[in-house]
Amino acid sequence: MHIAEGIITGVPAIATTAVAAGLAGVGVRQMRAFVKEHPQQKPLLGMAGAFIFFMSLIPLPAFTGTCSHPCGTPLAGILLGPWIAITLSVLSLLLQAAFFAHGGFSTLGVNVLSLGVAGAGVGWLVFHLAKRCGLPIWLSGALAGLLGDVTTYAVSGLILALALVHGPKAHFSLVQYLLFIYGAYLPTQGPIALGEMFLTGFALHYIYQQRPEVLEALRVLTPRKVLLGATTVLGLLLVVALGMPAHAQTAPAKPAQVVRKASPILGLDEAVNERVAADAGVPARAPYLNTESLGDVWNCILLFGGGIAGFILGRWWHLLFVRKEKPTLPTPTPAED
Amino acid sequence: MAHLHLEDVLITERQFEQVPARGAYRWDARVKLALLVLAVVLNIWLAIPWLSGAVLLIGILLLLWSRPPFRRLRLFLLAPLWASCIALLGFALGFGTTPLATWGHLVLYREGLQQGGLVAVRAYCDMVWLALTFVTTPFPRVLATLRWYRLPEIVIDTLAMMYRYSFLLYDEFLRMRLAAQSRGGRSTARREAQVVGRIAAQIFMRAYDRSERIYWAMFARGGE
Repeated sequence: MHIAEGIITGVPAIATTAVAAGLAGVGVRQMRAFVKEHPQQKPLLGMAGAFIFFMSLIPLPAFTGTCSHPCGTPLAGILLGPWIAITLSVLSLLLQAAFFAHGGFSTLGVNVLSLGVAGAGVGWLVFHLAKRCGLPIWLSGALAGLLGDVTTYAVSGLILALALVHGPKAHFSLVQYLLFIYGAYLPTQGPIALGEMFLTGFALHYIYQQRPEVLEALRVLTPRKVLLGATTVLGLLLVVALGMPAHAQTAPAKPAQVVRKASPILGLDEAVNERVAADAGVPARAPYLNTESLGDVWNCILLFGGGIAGFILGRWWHLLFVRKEKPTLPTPTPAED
Repeated sequence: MAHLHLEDVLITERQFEQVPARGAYRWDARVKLALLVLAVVLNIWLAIPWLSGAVLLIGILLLLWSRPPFRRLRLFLLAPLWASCIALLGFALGFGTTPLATWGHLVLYREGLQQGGLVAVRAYCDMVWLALTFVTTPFPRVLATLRWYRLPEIVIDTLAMMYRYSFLLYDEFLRMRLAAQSRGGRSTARREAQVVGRIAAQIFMRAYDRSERIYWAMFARGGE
């Protein structure tokens, strides 16, 4: 899933590139730590990057300015960790742009956020949460592949819809653009997400069956800082969803008052606090994270997130207080003399 | 579309040895990379229509002067074509207030057409400069340039490994897939999913083993 060159311009392009560069910087530090810990596995980073590179080189046309294909980042995220997978996705996107004119330089940041952060981050997170809940490795991998892919498409669609809705003289609302884009994605992305689900699940299952020591060496089976990772990934996704600068086409900023005049009922903030602040010479400005601009989408996200979190907590809360046994590797039977 | 053809890349590598240097081929890779970044900044980050057009025109002229192999160049011309066409249509039908033509419920707007056209110009501008930089520069020189620009060593090493082993892994994947097909391993959708998963696992495990062998081979030759 690449957003094509030329779609995102101005401040959003700069902002997403800066965020992607920052994340890649963290990934580079993780790569150095990985090489320090496993010096003989240094070439594996290149191999894993090559794996992502191929997986995302099978394009199918989807909607305005995008094409679709398997991501490969959920599997890379599970095997090497999300930060390394993010950096590898940057390198893979660079090679694709340089040699196959796939994606682009100016949309590199946006594509890293969707493929790297959403794909690898969510894939890694779902895998470890599912494993912590006691699900078998193939099912954990399959869920990670599916949700990593779906989140990648969701983030790409959201970024594209935000860019379109803030374009000059847009005809439709954000929700309408989102529905249109996701509707257009569904026929191509649906089967690909299912394919990625099977691919990730089966690949992890076979690696575990045949070479469990590989997964052990890469610390796929040992517990990681899942809660910290969950907070980071969800925080980053929230920033992508809400912090995407509102003006994709570098239009001048709208004052906050213009937006609020649409609502006939004023709350305490607008009626009292802002008025007092304005009288004191500090007028209100537009918020950095404007959840109001998302309208019903924001309510839907909250509702959906609350439902999912409630289900997870209700179903598996007892596992938080139970000490889990460390997963043991299948030991080979000793040869008979 | 952008399928991976080893020949398309190799033909460029061969050309560096066979064809006398001309145009952008003679330029220093550091200058080319700096010009590419400048072109992207002018084209995308500033996003001024006439400036994008001017940068595109300069890029096309330089590309014509350099005469890179068409087989490699066509990818850079064809890859953004469908995206630009869909963007042009999407914007033309979805944005604007001045109707130009109407077909039933579909209305073609002047502003949307201009906006879509700009997207196409911006896309092609970047693609032309990407082609001008990477089709006329051997990849080892690109890596040396990145090293000169002080990119972290680990990133450059990984990039070099990716470039070196991408085609090898892909070739292994194709061979395994062909072997599975010839054994009837892709008869049903479920079986096919299993086989592809098994191949992916095999490729990863082979890559894991190979990476260790490569490390020791490099180490034996004095590498780190």
